[in-house]
Amino acid sequence: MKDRLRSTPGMTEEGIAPEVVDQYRRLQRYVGWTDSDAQRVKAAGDIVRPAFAALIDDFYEAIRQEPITAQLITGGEQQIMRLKKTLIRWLDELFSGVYDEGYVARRWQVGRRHVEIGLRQVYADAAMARLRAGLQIALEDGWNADWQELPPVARSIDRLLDLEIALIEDAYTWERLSAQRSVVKEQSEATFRNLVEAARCIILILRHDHTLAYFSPFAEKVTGHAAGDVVGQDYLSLFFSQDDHAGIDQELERVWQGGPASMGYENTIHCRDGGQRTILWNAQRLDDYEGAPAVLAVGHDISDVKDAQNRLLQAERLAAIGETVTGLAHESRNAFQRSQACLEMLALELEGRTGELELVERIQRALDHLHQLYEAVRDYAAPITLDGHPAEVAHIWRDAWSHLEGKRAEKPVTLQETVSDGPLTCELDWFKLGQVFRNIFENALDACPTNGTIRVTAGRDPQNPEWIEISVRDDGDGIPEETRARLFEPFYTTKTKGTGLGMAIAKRIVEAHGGTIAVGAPSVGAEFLIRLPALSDA
Amino acid sequence: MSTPSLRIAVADDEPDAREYFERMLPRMGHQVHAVAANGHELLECCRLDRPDFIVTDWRMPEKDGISASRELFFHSRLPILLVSAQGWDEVARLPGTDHLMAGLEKPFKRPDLEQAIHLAHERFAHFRIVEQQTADLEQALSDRQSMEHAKQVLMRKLKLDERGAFSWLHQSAERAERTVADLAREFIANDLDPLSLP
Repeated sequence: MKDRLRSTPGMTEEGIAPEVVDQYRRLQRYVGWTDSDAQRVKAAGDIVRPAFAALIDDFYEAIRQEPITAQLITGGEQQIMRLKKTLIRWLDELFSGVYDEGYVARRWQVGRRHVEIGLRQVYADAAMARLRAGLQIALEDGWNADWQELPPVARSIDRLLDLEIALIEDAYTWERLSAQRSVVKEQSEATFRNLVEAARCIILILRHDHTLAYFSPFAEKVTGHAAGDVVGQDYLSLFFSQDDHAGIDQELERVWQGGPASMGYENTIHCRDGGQRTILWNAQRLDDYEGAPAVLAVGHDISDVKDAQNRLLQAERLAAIGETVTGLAHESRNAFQRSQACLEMLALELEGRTGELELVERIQRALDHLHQLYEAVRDYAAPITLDGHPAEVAHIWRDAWSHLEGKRAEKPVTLQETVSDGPLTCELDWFKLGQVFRNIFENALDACPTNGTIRVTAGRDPQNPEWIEISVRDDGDGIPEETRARLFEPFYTTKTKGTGLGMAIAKRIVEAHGGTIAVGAPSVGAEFLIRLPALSDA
Repeated sequence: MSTPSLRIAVADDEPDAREYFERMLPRMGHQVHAVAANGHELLECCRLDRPDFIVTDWRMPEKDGISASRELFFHSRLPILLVSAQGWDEVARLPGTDHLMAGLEKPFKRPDLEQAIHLAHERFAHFRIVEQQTADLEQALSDRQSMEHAKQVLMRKLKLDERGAFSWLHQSAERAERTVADLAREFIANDLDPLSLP
């Protein structure tokens, strides 16, 4: 009962809302209701009471006859019986002469009931009019006293009935107002939901027990998890690595305890497919989300920005190295020359002494290696300025291939070309791109067996004809998984005598041309895929 | 590789480098003509006694190797090998480096030095041939112009036709035991007086 009271408009936990009672009292004053009216009505009650039964039957007969009102009686005769009993009580109370807070509360509930069952207000008014007429007739019929004393009594009954109608109308108004408020609330909730769902941020609502209360559509998109799968689950273990748990918890606890909102907290989130994204979070406490406190966490996916930042940092680092190396070039080469000169002079001094000469030989090799490394780093770090001219890509690799004649004399390998028709012209730096192909061919030659084949295919990308694709494949043992990922890393080499910069430099050169280089995954051997922008209208 | 034995002047501001050249060049069959520590010293060494070949470093205090060797080259031709820390292709693109026959990049080894000397020497020989050919052509052109001038004057003054003037010049040259070109020049120098000729 208490719950219904609470959810009934106009009613509070204590009973009738003070505003309703207040309103009734104002209306009483407005229509001029006095205690005399109350006395008169009470006295009239004795006169009209005999007519109650007939009035009630008539009341419900009218309801039955009108289809609109008849359809509201769903419980058949039993309901009608109950309702008639209620109406008797209502009439008794009407003529009770006592119109206190309890009276208003009970009348209010009657009014509410009419609203709840869906009776249109006009029919409530019409029913009251019928009752009023019946009561007036009953009063006139039963009047025994002086006729001049009838009108004041009739007026008092009218006043009371007007106040009754006012109460019922008020109940309907409350209903309209609260319906409007619900609509507004629903609309604003709908707007909020649309905003939240349309926003291109990850929106999570978290409970203190680490469960997820809400998971926005964009969050689904980024992480690959469906909301249905994750709501109610532990968000820490779902999305974050073990190492991050303590830090996240600490940050959130501050927010839970009512501390300032967390702004700009960055971490990595794990996606369903195993991938990771870098997210920048803002989190704040919500005192009430669906009945309990929660934390609203809004995250922006900054993975791409971070990537760009890292690339920029890398480029800046390289530029700094390049500058340094260029600056050192003169001094370093002089130092190398002094070492070389003295080493050769030392060899002269040690003529005939094989033991010592062998040491000199080893120093020479180390010096050569150091010089090679130095030059490779200088090459790698130096800013790439391209001396670009339009050229057919085929000519570049053929030129590179011819330069490897010496190496091929030791190990004969066939070059098999599949070049599509039409011009494959790019704006390119002959020397530098030649370096790239020479590098790839050298690796391929090392990998191939004797009398093996290196296959070169070149053509336009069928989906994007403004790109030229070149593939170089050898029939060696292929590239192992771990190596494939690190191939373009500077200083990564699997050879004993390598700087590990060849592929890194190749990547820089190809990218400076606006292209891409990648390792393929053929069934046999190793494959390199180079994409270069074609010269338009070539 | 057969470079003849050369008297080589060396310039380098590094003592280690100077010592290296002093010890290695003889072992390569050459003589060390002089050793300088900068461009000024190089000019001083080569002024009165010219070497057959110069090996010079580029960047040296007071006067660098490129400008010092350029002065020597303009004075009289000789092969110059530049040693530098900077790449040769970059150096060669700079203005005022035409006199350098070859470049040697640091760090280098003995075989690189031998090869560079050989290359510079060969290029210089070729350069001299071309220079001589140019001089010969210039001379031939000048001769022809003189002979033509003389012929024209003779034709006018002695009322001869072209063939007549031509044979007149030839006969005079034979009598004077000189070349036609020399005679023509003398003729023009002596105010073009036909009677001055034999």
